[in-house]
Formats: sequence, structure tokens, C-alpha cells
Amino acid sequence: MIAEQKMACPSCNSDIFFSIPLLIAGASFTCTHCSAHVKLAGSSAPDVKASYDKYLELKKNALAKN
Amino acid sequence: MENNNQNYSHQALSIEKLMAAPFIAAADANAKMAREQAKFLMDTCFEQNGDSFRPKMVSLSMTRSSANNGGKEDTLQFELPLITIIPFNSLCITDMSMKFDMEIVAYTGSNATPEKDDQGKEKCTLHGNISYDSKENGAASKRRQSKMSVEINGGTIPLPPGLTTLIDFYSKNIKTS
Repeated sequence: MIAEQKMACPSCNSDIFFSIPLLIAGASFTCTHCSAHVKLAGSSAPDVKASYDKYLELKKNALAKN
Repeated sequence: MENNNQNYSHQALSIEKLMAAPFIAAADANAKMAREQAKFLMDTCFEQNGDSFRPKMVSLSMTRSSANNGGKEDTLQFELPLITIIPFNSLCITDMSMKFDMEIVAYTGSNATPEKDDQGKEKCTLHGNISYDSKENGAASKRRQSKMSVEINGGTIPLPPGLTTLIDFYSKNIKTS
């Protein structure tokens, strides 16, 4: 299951729902109000992926220790 | 008989200590996880500059139709803090249960010389060992196989209000450049 997150649309401040795995994969997400599309810039994708992988590893280790 | 009890009482713990031990271990584990998450947060999502920390930013692009541009699509770049897109949760031990049989091997306080607590009530402290599993066979190995079963479940809880406020503050201040 992919947890949905949201960010504020820079154009109209409404919610843009997104999932980080898809964002990293290059998908674009649409504002619920103004239909603007947002996507991760290619230059930031490796950094976000590395951070997200690190977070998943931390989560996996923490739950495994339990 | 009394000598045997005294021998065991050297290894015995009070009931309070026996029951507290798993809870203290769980609290320590939770504290360790909280420290690791805080370290991850600071190492991954912030850049240190002397005594201050700046959020690491990631770039995104936004495409929208513009009425001012004859309906053509504009593409704008904007940045937002990494912390706002990593799906943080507080990881912790959410529930815990323990089960053990206790073998009482000593106690302090007696009818002859009763100890009294602060309210003047007679106090008796039991000391014991975790007992063997009564369902198991093999008397010789029973004392070496004392068992306490502790079941814990990990999960997530809402983020601390301070961190939620910080993420909310960042999220509401996204601006295009």
C-alpha cells in the first residue's frame, strides 16, 4: 500500500496528493483545484530517493528490533 | 530448608523489579528509536551551518495553463524542504504484554517484627525467581529453564506536535520562483 501525502499547491494553495515512490519514479501529480501538475525535478530525484531509502531502512530496522 | 531459601534469595528479585524489567527495557528501546529518528531527521533533512541548521531543499517543477499566455502551459520551478515530502512517522513499541510464573523464594517482613510503610501499614516484600514452565516435563532442567514471555508490537504514532508544526509551517510557505 502506498501512503498518500499532500503538499500545498504553489499556485492556489489547495492540496496536491502524491506518493513519494511515484514522485521519485517521475510521475506528476495534479492539484485538486487548479489542475496544475507538479513533478520532481530530475536533479533532485537521486537525493530524494537516497533519503527515502534511508528512511525505509531505519523503519525496517526499528520494527525488526521489536 | 531455610538455607536453601537463603541460597535462592541471593538470586531472587523483588516482584516490583521482576515486573519492571521488561517495561524499562521497552522504554529504553523506545528512547533509542526516538534518538535514531531524530538523528536521521537532522542528518538527512537539514544542513548544518555553524550553530544553525537549514532545511535541505528539493526542486520540483509545476506546469499549469495560463490565461495570460493564451492558454499555453507555463512551467515554473519551485523548491520545498525535503522534510515535507518524506513520510515521517514516530516509530515505537505500541503495546506490550508479559507472562511469567513466579516462584516465591523469600520475603521480608514477618508477624513477629512487622515492617511498616509510610502510612503505618504492615509491609511485606516478596522475592522470587521466574519459575519454570509448568507444562514442560523434566524436573532436572526446570530450574535452569525459567521463562518469562514478553510480547511486544511495534507501530507508528503521530509525530510530536513540534515537528508537525515545523512541517506544516514549511508546507504552507511553498512559493514559486
